Amino acid sequence: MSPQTTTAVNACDVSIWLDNAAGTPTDISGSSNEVTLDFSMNVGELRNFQSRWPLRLMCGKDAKFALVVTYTTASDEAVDILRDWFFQSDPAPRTLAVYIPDKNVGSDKYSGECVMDSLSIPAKSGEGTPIAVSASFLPNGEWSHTTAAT
Amino acid sequence: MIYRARTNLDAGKKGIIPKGGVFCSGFLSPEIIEILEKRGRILPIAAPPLEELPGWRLRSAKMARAGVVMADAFLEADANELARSIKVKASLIEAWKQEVIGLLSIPEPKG
Repeated sequence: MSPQTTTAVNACDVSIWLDNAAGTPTDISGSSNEVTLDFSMNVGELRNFQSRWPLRLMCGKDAKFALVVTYTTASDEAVDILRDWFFQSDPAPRTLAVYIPDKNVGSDKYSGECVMDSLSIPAKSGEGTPIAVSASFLPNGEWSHTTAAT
Repeated sequence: MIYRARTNLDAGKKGIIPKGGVFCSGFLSPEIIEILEKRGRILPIAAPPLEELPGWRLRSAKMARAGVVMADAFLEADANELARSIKVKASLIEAWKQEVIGLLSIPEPKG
């Protein structure tokens, strides 16, 4: 029997940092509740005669990132930063960093520059729960995975 | 003690140690090293004698006269003191340290 892992983690203390308009990394974890890092590989396929199975080659990498934040009214919280970013006359790429399972030494850090792809603010009458704003981002250049060592 | 990074390490303002790269124990605090070692993100490595590094035969002899024989002792030595003792510039010692770090590192392919 395979030994059972003792290092499983959950997402309770995930830390999300996004540049604000001044370019300062800002912790938006306290007003966010979901983040998805969706990495993808550009795969080429070929089929040769006399085989039923394809051969595949891996090439470029890409990603899409999704964030769900709570609509709040304070400045420099998630929705404020995202809204400011979208409504800038000439929005520039910003740095997004996600620490899993938390922002302590030894945690995984996924980070890089990204551009905003969409910002969705669904306001519904008769809905008692806070408005959940969703945003998606696309990488601008290379993204990296590091281990937090500070 | 010298450690090898088993994953890219983000040391904040000190920069990123790439996977396969080496660093001295003084580069990170003992508490951080303990956590990273416990999580398997870094491994202590046995450093070779300087004389075994390619291109280091003459320099290792100089270092030996200053009492520095092993690569880890060289990397952890105070550059100014060592420079005084073998009569070279401290900047040269720093450059040599980078060279040794490069020789001990196992670079990852880009991408």
